[in-house]
Amino acid sequence: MGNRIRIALLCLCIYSFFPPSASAFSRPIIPFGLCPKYNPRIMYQLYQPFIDYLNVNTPYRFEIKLSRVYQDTIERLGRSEIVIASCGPVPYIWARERYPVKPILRPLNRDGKPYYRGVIFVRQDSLIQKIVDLRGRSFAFGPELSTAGHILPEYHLQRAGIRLKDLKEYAFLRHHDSVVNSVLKGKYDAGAVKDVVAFQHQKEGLRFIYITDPIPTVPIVVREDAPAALVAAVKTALLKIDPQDRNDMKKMVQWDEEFKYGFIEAKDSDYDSIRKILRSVHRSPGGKGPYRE
Amino acid sequence: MQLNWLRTIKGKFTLYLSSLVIVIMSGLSFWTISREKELMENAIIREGTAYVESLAISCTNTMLYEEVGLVDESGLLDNYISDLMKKSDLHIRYAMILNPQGDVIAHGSRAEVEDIYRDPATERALSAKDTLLQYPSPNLLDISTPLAISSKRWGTLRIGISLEYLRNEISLLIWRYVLLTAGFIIAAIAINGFLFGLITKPLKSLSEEMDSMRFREDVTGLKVNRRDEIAILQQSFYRMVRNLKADEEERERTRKNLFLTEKMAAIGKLTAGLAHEINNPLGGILNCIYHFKKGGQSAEQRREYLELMEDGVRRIQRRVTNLLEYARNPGLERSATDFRALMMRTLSLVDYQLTKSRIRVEEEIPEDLPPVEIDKDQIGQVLLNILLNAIQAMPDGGVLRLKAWISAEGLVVTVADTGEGIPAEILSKAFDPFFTTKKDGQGTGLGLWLSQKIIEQHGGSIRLTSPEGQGAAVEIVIPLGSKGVL
Repeated sequence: MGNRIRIALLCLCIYSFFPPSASAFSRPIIPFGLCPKYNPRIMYQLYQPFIDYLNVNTPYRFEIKLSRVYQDTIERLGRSEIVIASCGPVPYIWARERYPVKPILRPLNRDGKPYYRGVIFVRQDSLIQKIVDLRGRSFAFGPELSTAGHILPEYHLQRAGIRLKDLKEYAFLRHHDSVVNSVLKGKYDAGAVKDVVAFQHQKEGLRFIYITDPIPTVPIVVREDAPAALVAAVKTALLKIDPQDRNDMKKMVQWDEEFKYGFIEAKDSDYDSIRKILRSVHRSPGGKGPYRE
Repeated sequence: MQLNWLRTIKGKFTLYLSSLVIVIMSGLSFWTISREKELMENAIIREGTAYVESLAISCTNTMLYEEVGLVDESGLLDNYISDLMKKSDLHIRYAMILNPQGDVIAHGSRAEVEDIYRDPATERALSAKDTLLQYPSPNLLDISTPLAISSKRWGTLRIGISLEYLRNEISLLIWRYVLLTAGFIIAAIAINGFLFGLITKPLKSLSEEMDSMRFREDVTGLKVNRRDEIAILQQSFYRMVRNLKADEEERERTRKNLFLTEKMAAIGKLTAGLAHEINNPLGGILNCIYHFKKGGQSAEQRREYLELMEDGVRRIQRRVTNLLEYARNPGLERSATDFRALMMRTLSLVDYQLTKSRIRVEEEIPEDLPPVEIDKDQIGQVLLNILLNAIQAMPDGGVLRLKAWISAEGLVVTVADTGEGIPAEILSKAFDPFFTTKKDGQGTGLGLWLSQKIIEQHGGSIRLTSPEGQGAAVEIVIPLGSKGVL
């Protein structure tokens, strides 16, 4: 079935069965794709309140559509099974090169800026002090398509003269929290995750040995053929979040740290810096197969 | 004295103590059982809730991971429910997982799977946002918890815990407390009995001692060997006995004095008659002596004179003997007495007064009266008092009627006169001590009072009646047997 037909059916579903005054349970379900940066339970704990917010503040009824791996979410976007999703910058670039998708919003961090950083860390009691000390050590990456979990650390390792083959051992773990756990348990000497995750677990015994330059935050992506009203409703709902407003912050207290400080509009060019990094690590975003040498 | 057990101090105390034990134990039992029940229920709720909530995490994860495609459910939910049903300590009656629409996804009884539950308890469980406790029946606790993360819900885990064993435990507990209460009551009664035995045993001994002791008994030699409250009581009792004995002795002395006083007063009243009674024979005797001195009598005349003199002396001797017999200070003693003879002898003492006052005596005292157990001296004084009173009531002559007969109550004696009678207001005071209607020096006011005391001592009664216009009558009843206190 062609993508156009799929979109048409989805839109027909949305428009035909969705009377504006209908209650939440009578509204058609719109799946909201999420890349599994955490394990599924944590994903629901952090993102269901966000979905609830959208359900209250838009005339739509969203439901989380978690995928097994990052690529699945992109594929679902491509197959029009979902029209809206949130994934990292790299998955977005990967999707953009394959499918008609565009970023509509990107979240702000605690400082009110639309950037975040990647963190390379070791266990508190580790002898490793600098990134160059990682040669010959084991390293836990996040998912292959994860920006802070894989692309950024590999980029900075390369800049320090360490290629993947110079590592004693490395692995791509399914979630960011899996990376933290594996390092804390001593399975790997070092790991890399996004800053919010690193800071969250820092007190448990992590020591940061490298923090990357800021990169644009995780975009909310829609298919270009997504209903304009849907896109507009989501943008309106999320752009009105005011991190200075205590009432808003009370609502966001259970949200993922990445989403709770508000949003700004996003455009494709915001992610050019990531494209540059991808090129410098000699990655071919459009290529097939594993995203590494 | 035989006491009703419940009226004894021991009985009352036992009753109060038992009541107190029942009240305290009832209160304690109620509180403890309520608390125990609450604690047991809370424990079941806590345990059940903990099981359900912890299992809910696994169930939710399974359903979530299955949805994401990370695991294949492959009967995991059935396994969870099956394991849960094996928790015999919780007495789980049912366990199930429902989807948000109430369809049974997994159930302890596999036959229920794919059924749809629509009952109110299920509706409440499906719509509850947190763990919900329900009691579909008195012996069933239904615990349900959402299988959800945040507001995303995959279904509901629900178990039913039978509370029957809890009710049985509570029933058992109630019985235990009932038995315990009964045990306490029995123990209380036993301890009470023992303690009261310790306390009342000396009291009983003292009581028996009191019962067996005569007030006339000398208690000066008795010693108190105890050093407790009972000893104080014993000392008080001995002191009381001594005081009573002293009082009794004093009273007896007084009574004797009064008795003698009254007797002397009666003798005084008899004196004039006695002088006359003696003087007449003496005159005859002097006349005989005169004729003897004169001489010239024949032997026949001398013999007549001597017989007259002897007769006169014997009359004097008889009168004096009667008076002496009356006047002697009597000991208090009973003996079988011929009442008719006693009455005649007493009557002879007042012959002079009767003759002087022209009083005719009508006497109806049978000669065959059986002997009566009386103190003849005291009863003689009673009769003399009554006769003198009757004679004084008839100064201008009349009839003195004396009667005696045997009735069911004993010997009945009536002495009636035909005098003016006694006014009613005086009649009621006639037996009061020192009450007299006579002029000063003519009466002691003790005659009737003493008579009453003497008759009462014989266990009898004395009654004074005075029908208007018919003189006065005294009725004395003396039991034939010995009932008196003499």
